[in-house]
Amino acid sequence: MAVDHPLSPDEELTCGRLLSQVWDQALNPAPAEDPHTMTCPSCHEAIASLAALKAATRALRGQAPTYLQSLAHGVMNIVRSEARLGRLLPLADPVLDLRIAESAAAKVLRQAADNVPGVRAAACRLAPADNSDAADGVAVALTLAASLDRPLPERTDEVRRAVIHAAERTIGLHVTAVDITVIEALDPPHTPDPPSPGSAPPETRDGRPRHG
Amino acid sequence: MAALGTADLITAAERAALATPGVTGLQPFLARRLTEAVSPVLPPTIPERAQTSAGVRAEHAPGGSGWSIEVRCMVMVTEGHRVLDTARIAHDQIQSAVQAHLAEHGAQDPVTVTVTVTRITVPPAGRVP
Repeated sequence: MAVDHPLSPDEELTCGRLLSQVWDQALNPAPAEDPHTMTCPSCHEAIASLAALKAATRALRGQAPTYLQSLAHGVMNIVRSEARLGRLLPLADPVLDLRIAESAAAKVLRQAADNVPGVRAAACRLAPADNSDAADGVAVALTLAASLDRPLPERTDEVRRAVIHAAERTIGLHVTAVDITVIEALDPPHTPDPPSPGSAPPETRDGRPRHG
Repeated sequence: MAALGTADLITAAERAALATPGVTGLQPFLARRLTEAVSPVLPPTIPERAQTSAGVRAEHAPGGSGWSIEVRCMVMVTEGHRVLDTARIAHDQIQSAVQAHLAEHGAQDPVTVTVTVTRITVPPAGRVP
């Protein structure tokens, strides 16, 4: 007869045996030969149920750390992507509350610098201008690599103009200063020699003449 | 007169923002993204979900200072329109939509709208729409 108490530590099967004894016997790698267990449907059913439960528990135990790791990884990715937005900077509107994430503005300004021949932008940071009459002033700090085939002041002036142009005409930022730091020298930009009269057309990489 | 709900107000702001030419999408706030990430282990309804949508946050300040609506949007640069221009249009459309929604419910609370651009897409040269 089964024990009715829900908190009973053990259960008596309909065949009269205790569940714990039957399960211990089933777990024994070298069980003693027991004709009852081999033929009793109650013992068989109990062992099959507990075996299924054990398999499910083992499977869950294996999955849980993976799931938690995946959850933690996902949460950290979200937090990192939020941090990557950077500061929120004012767009150049004196009345409305309009802002832009530093990362979004920096991407446009880096592209503007990259478009200057002989320049490759590295980092671009933006911050509210400290000494600006306008409340919406923004200061830009740009680091870049530049080739040395032209005087650096000339090249950085060109970068500065390109950055201010992009900030004002593409974004709508009121830039008060662009500080540029050259951190690396690049090889001079390659300019192909003009073809001499009567020369053959340039060849493709596989050696055939290029057309069109 | 129907009861005024924050979720409906957020939906009105969301639609107005997405209807703005040049706005390509809304960027969910951190709280919303975290809520979605952990939702399999949380009860299906938690208070935060009622207060944020994908990229729109609405708060009603006590004391009569009205509604504060914050929208985070992604913008594509179009011919003749700076990011600033698109943000201005989005701001005005959101403010109008929220005020109209409040008026439908008999409310005349002040509305403050903040538009934050979180991503800019610049089409390749010569392909500006």
